[in-house]
Amino acid sequence: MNNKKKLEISERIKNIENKKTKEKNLKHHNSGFGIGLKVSLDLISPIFVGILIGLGIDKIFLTKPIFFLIFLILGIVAGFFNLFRATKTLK
Amino acid sequence: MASPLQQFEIKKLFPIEAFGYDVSFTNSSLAMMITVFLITFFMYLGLKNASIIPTKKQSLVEISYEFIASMISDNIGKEGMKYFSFVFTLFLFILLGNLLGMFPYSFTWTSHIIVTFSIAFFIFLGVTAIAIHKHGIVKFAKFFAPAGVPRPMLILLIPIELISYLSRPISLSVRLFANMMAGHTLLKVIAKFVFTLGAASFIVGGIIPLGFLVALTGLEIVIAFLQAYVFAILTCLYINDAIHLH
Repeated sequence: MNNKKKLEISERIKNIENKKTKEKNLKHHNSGFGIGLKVSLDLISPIFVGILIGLGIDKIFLTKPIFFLIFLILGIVAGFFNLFRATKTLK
Repeated sequence: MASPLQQFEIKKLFPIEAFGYDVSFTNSSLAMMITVFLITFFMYLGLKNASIIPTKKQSLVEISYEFIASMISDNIGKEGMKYFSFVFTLFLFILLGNLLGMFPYSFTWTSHIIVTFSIAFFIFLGVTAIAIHKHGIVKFAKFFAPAGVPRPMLILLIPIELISYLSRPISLSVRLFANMMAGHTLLKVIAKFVFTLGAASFIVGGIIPLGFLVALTGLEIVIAFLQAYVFAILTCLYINDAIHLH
């Protein structure tokens, strides 16, 4: 009887482990929802940082729109850079 | 009728002032303290009579342990286990904070940008400190200049990399804050529909929005889990970047 129970338990453990590996394989096919959540803010937050840095430099050197515009463009480029990098790691 | 944003109002429970700053004990602080208390209670109950064959409560604690442990070993590797306690605490703190907000009459402290931003900002500082401590400041500075790039391009690339590095705490904090705040506001708006439509049409009109409300509450709980997960996994990725500078 003890042996029977042992066999049963070992079978159950095997089943659970099979399930786990299946789940791990599923993880690689990440849902689009999660990627969207992650990437959407990676796109826009560098723009805000760029604007803040630009306005800060302008305030120090009194060169009102120049650095603001430069860092705004750099921020937008950085945002798309992030997007590009995210798509590279997708596969 | 109450505004849907009224739930986010900060109320002072015990006004305290120190050195000219307002450091009152608010309902937000109370909610955070309850969260910490709940985590302690959860861990204590689960591990009180720890045995090899776990009880239900103990296996709940073990599942959450394994969840974070596998997350760290997948994303950082073996040397990441040093930071296990940090990621685990962070995950439980945010998860239980999100779930605590789902109770009626409670307060969702994760729906305030200042709270999430200060968490994210200190993660950012800590990760930067780890990178500098591990590799030295010169190697850390090279992180912003990808290898194999022609010299003139570096003038453009370094500011871009720097901006995208500095934007990490913002994207991390805004993601959590916006999801929690938008979800809770939406719940309140739909709940208002239930009341007004039901009152205008002898209860019948309120049934459809009530169904929506039930479905959205379920979705909100899923989002509470998902956001805590995303926050923890992104922290792992940042620590990974700090340990293995490429």
